[in-house]
Amino acid sequence: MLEVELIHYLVLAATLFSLGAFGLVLNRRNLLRALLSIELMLLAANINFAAFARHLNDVTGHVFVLFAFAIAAAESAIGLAIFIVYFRETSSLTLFKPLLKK
Amino acid sequence: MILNLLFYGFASLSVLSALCVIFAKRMIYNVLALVLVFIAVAGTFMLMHAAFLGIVLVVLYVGAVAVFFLFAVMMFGNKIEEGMKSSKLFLVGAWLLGGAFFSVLLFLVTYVGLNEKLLVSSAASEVALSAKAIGNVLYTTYFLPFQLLGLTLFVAIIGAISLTLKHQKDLKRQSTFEQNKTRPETRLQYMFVKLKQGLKDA
Repeated sequence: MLEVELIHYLVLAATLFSLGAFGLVLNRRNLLRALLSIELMLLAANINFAAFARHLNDVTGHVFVLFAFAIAAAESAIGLAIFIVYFRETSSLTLFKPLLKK
Repeated sequence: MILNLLFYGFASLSVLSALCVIFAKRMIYNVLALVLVFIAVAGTFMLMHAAFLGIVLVVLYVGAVAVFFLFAVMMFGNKIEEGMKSSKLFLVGAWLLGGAFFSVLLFLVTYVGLNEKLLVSSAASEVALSAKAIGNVLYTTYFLPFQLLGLTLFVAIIGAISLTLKHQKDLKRQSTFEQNKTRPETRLQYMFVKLKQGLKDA
């Protein structure tokens, strides 16, 4: 068989998704790293879409991946804007810090 | 065979870079490792006949989103790392959540992969995936979601700008309401000026 089989892609996507979830909970010091972990999880979901699109030979999966890319770009832009405002207020990026300065 | 080797190369590169995204100490290394993950995943997209998606991934993420992140890292500076260690509770929670996700997903994947009847495999020799096919579907069937997607990006631009805009109090700025509210009578005064006398009290 010339093609890489479907299950390889699915295992790769599962690994990336679990790594993203792991990093999301593990990391407390830095909000930016949490956003990077979320990007990893989104990318893993997109790998699944594209792999099944190839497996079923249906182009709809690719369209959904395109939509997910655009939404992820919007999400990261808004997230970074929120982080910049947070950084201006508290001059740190730590989670679980009281927002208002005394 | 060579495709399998390529896939293993891309997959191991992406997993190692993902580990680097999570565990690297400095933020700039996190972001650059994420760029490496994107490039490796773009390679796997190429392997699954999704060349257009791979190119879009490189252009959109490496070109735009990673640059966002790098700008943000540049703004936050280098002094951001505070010595706040992860507590034991969070470490245990992270292992539990990551392990649970991984085991459940792996179980599902192997279960589905071993039961080929669950999947209607096309086993197509003729590949129907191309940029032309994507465009054909995107501009006909998914036309309204496509337009809404553009609207979403527009709203995201406005939201990001309005969040980060600093309002300066002492800045002189245009007030369109005041401008539209004024009539000629409130700003102008008609006077008769006599010849060679001028105005007495202006």
